[in-house]
Amino acid sequence: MSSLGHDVLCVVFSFLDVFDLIRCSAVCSHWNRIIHKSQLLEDLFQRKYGNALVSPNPAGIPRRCLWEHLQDMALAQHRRALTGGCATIDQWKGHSAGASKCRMRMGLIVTGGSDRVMRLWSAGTYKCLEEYSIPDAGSLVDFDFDENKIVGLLGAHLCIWRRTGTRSLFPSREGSFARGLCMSYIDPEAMVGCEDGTVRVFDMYSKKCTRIIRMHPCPVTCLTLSEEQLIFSGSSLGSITISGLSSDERVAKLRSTDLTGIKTLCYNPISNTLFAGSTAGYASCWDLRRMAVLWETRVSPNVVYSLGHLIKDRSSLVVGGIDGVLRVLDQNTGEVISSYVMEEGTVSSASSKSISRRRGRRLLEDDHLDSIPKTARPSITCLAVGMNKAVTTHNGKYIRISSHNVSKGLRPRRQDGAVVYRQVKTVQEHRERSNHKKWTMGICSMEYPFVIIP
Amino acid sequence: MSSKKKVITLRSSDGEIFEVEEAVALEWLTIKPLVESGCTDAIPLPQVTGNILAKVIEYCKKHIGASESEDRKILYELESWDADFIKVDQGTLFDLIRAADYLTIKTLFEFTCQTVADTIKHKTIEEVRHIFRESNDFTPEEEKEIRGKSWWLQGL
Repeated sequence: MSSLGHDVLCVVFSFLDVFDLIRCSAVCSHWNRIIHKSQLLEDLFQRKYGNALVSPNPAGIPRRCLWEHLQDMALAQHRRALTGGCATIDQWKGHSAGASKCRMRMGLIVTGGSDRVMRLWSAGTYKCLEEYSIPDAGSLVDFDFDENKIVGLLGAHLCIWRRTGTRSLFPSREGSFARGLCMSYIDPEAMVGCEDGTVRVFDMYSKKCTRIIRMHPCPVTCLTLSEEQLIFSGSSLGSITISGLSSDERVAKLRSTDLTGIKTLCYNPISNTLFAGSTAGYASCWDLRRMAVLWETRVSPNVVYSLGHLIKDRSSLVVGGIDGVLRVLDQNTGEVISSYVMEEGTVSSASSKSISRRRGRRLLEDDHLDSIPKTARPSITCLAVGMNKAVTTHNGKYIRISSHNVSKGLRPRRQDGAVVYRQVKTVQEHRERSNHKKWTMGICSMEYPFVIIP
Repeated sequence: MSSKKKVITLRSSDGEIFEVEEAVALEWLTIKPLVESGCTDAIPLPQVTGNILAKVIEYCKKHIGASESEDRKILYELESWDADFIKVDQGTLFDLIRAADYLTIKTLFEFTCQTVADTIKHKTIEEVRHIFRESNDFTPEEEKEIRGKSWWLQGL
């Protein structure tokens, strides 16, 4: 498209909305330069949401401030989509058997299961981008990944797959590494939660166990990390402890004991809260500043296997478990805001043969779970949350992505319901202006209302 | 010959000759002064090939007068005609944009640009790259910076 020239590209871009425009600015450096130099983004933002900004500065919004506003807008959209929108569920056969775990990061999804292979998918197109075979050393228990590598826990071994293709297995030393049950990874270290109640820290480069932290008297079932070098771990007996990466002992106990085990943990650095899901179907939240429980909700009569939220989002928490219902909770109150299952037999226009698309059904309060067949709600063994969407695995062949849109009925229109064309100036006039700034052309469509509180 | 039916002759880059009504040619701002000056020779259009010029004339003929119509039925028909008209490959679409830009035909230029913009909408970054055959030429540092500030766009 670069062959079209600068001016034409400017006109094309002026027809886009804010999010599309930002995406375009990440396509290639040529587009990026055009969008930034011509201040298209600032103009568009000012025009659409200008009255929401206090900045009296007519020269424009400072860029940093603009990005903050854009982030707020994106998060607001995410919240609206998850809580009040409608869902479409795409599912495809990702593994030949037992796809039990998934992780999502940077628009990429990694899934793994019992078929001795891990696959990397595009979250946009659901295409399989890369495939990693699992060595015979053990079966896949857990994994984590970043831009460069995938780290997998195979029973009592760690294995690294570089995105470039090489694979390396950590040397196993008999007896030093009890069976691992869960893991987490932030370069350069991977933490493994073990059956003997310890968390073992491995350096990815020296491939050695650098620390052993005693955290529980019973198996460590789940763990999560904070960027401030804290490790949170949950145990099969229901205790949750916190430890610093540098110390060998736990530094705090959040909960000493309970009747039921902790299955999943998730930490939100923005609000400094920790979320946990338990065997008895409870989701709970701790305020780490006060070390106190904020709320506890029994979301399901059965096990909660997984919970998560979009990074930097402090409003909604997605929870999944054995009953197969995808629930969205308010992070601040624990209230269940919306619940979804898949609608049966409503396969609509599938974008490709291998992907089937169905509508998500929003559960009402008086819906009885027992009346919904298990096929519409297979147990969620793992979930990962991205912008406006959640990926789930069900210990079967299929991977599902539930995408949430702000539903059409909720989308506000202009008062007269019309698409409003802005004042259009001719190309000639455009040429005459050396400054593209005030030149406006395109469709003004307000997709959702935002109130930006400065 | 009445002035209403006055015909303007155009020559494409590959030497094809086209005849259009003056009213149509007057919408093309680039050649408007020539038309108004009463030029009777074939106007050379060295940047537009014959097949593209034929499409451009087809579009303008259809639209002359119709665009301003207030009749909903006519507008609706025009819209569906437009939708069929623009079902062309990317190369042709880009050629149409260039031709509309060169000849300064406002309606066609906006319509074609809007069509390109519509293909971009709601696509992921990778999909857009694929459609427009653009490659990711950011340095790792630039990419990191972009990802850092628009992390929430990933997979949106």
